[in-house]
Amino acid sequence: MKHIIVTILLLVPAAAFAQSGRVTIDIPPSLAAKASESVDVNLDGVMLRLASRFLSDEDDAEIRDVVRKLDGIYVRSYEFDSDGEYDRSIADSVRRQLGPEWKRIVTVQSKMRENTEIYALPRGDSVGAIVVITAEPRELTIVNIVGPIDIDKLASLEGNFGIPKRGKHE
Amino acid sequence: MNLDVELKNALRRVEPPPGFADRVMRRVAPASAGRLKPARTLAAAAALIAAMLGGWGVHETLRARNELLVAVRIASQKVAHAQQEIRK
Repeated sequence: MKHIIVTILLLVPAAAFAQSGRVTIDIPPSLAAKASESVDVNLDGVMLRLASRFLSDEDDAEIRDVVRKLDGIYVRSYEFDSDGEYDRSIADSVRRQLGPEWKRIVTVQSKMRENTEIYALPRGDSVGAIVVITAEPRELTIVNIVGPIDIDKLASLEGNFGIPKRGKHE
Repeated sequence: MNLDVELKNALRRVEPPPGFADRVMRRVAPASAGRLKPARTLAAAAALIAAMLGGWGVHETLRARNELLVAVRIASQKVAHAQQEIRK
């Protein structure tokens, strides 16, 4: 009984937090040490606006347009040299925070390629936040974007980083 | 001559030669110009600290910019990949 109460007490604030669009990405520090590559980005609204000022007017105009109204971007991404280096419950702990307001808009399951889920928090006719979870045997990536976001525009930015858009070559 | 008189003569007030004050001031002026007054020292220190803090702020902002680009790159790749898979 005690355990149930403690669990509820822990989950209630996390669920309330998630309704604002923000989720807690709780990753043990030891995971970065195991990873061959890791990315840990925490940018709240203030830092986003500061960072946006240093984006180039010409080259980064589309990126600036996508991020200008955001309240935060949080990314954890880990790549490993071998399979099964991370605990799959990490992704579950993020999913558990997403209340009924959150909608799973995309699920991609592939044996050969990455498995990706995209969750969106609707705000009227637009999207108020998204969570992207990619879980592969050798990769775990969790992205939380807080604030009004155009998902199609975000996807279109893929080609802005020197990486050809997949659609153009397939 | 007694000692009193000799001392009075030796210590009597003598007017300086013409232009003496000007020559002294000319020699003193360059030396004092090189030294900073306390207020100027404080201002210089404040400017140095401000420059250091400014440099730190720029460094932090540039780091945030790079993190932003990395975050957007990862997010856009994942979303674009998911969209491509759905369209297949």
